[in-house]
Amino acid sequence: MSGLIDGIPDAIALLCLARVPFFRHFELQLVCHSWRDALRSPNFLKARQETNASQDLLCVLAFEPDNVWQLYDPLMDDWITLPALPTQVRHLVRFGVVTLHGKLFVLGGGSDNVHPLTGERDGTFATNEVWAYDPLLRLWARGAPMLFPRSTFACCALDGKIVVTGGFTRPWDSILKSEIYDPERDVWEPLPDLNYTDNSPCSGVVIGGKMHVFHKKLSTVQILDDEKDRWTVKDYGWPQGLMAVVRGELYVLSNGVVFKQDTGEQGVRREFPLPEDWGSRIGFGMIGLGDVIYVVGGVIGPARINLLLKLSSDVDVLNVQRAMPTWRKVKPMSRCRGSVFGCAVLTI
Amino acid sequence: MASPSHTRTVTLKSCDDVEFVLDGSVATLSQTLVSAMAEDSSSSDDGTFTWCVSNITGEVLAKVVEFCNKHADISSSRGEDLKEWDKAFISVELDLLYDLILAADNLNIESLLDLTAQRVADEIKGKMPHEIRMLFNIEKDFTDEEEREIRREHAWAYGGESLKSFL
Repeated sequence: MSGLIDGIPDAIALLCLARVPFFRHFELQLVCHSWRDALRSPNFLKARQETNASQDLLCVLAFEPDNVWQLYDPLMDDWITLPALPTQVRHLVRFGVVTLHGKLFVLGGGSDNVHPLTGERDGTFATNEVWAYDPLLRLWARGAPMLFPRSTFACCALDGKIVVTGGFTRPWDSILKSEIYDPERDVWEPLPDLNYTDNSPCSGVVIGGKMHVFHKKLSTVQILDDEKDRWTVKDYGWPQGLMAVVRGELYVLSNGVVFKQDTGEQGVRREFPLPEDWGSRIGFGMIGLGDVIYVVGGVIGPARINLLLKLSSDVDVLNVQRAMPTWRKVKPMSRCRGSVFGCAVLTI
Repeated sequence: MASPSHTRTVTLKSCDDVEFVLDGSVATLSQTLVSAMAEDSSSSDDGTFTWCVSNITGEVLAKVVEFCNKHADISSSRGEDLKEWDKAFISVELDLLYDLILAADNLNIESLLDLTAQRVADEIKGKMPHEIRMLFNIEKDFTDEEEREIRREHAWAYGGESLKSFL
């Protein structure tokens, strides 16, 4: 590799490049081969961490376009589009999504594709596929498949690994099986089964460093022990709804209000109503990034005057760390719109 | 046994034999000097320590010393004021900026390396690839085919904006 910047050692030049915001990296890779190679090397992620230049980006997959994720940079208030996920499954939904080591992982799920003429559903209910997107190479790569095919399951990044559990292998056929993925070795290994399952959607959230598994119709939660050798059942009586974690605190959207969930013994329960013009927006995604809750996309209507559904690309944010949080809009998704099937925060 | 570094004075000598005398506490910003002083057992009860910096001229070293004096002066090094000062300090021509980077690396002064690297990043981040090439005197070495592929990828990722003046 020839020198990156004439007059500066490459190691230091790399530290300079690492400080450029991620959305500008595309331009940097177009300068010349040696810049492109440097920006794609694993050392580059390390350099970003060492210089405290790492950024949190929001990743979203919505109804349209099919299998196309977008990334949002809060500092630049801008969106970019990733190459389409190269799976054979059309309209992948009910998948698990996590980010780990600067990559976006999309796991399992099934097709929501409906034949335009016959109205029949595509055959794939649940796959065991694992896809990892590398934002430096701008490539999707296949990972080792999960031991079991799954849809609508709990999926979390935990201690540098990925834990999946529960969900459905076939319609109405929920499973107790758990497994853990080591991205370094590209290997799945079994973990202890859940204690119980349910025919309602299953989801997972990491709170206080522990993986919590929820079933939509149950008030109980199953928590993976630190040794990862069993699941403990707790009943917190938490309200059901969309969940987001901000600075380690759980926020739940339920009945038009965002609650700060009190996970400890005491504390003031805070509530934030949705904006007044929220109307009948449904199907949006919710996630915490930095101090902020993001509500993304969804479907609006039908209203009395307009019976058509509108696919939303709106993004509303609420800084819950402020004394008086108020909702505001940021730049809408430039390409994705409609119901949000997955969102994640990618640190790069 | 060497006396604690903050009680000593340090003489820095540039490659063109310009000397600068630093307070010991100022010199602790440089990890290179801290290690050198710790290893130096010869010293001298008079509390002085001399260090020759190869490859750094007196002009550059003067800037480095100015930076260290400012940053070691706790009374003035606070928040916004210091940021403003840094901004003015680092508004230099690229050649001097490179020299400062090399000096910061040589003397292992983290805060100066941060500041100079950030300045290079700021220089880069608003520019199109062809402007960056001009700035750093880099030759474009992509083939036509590679360039077409890159344009296609970019149009997809960024929705076709700003592509015309791109390469």
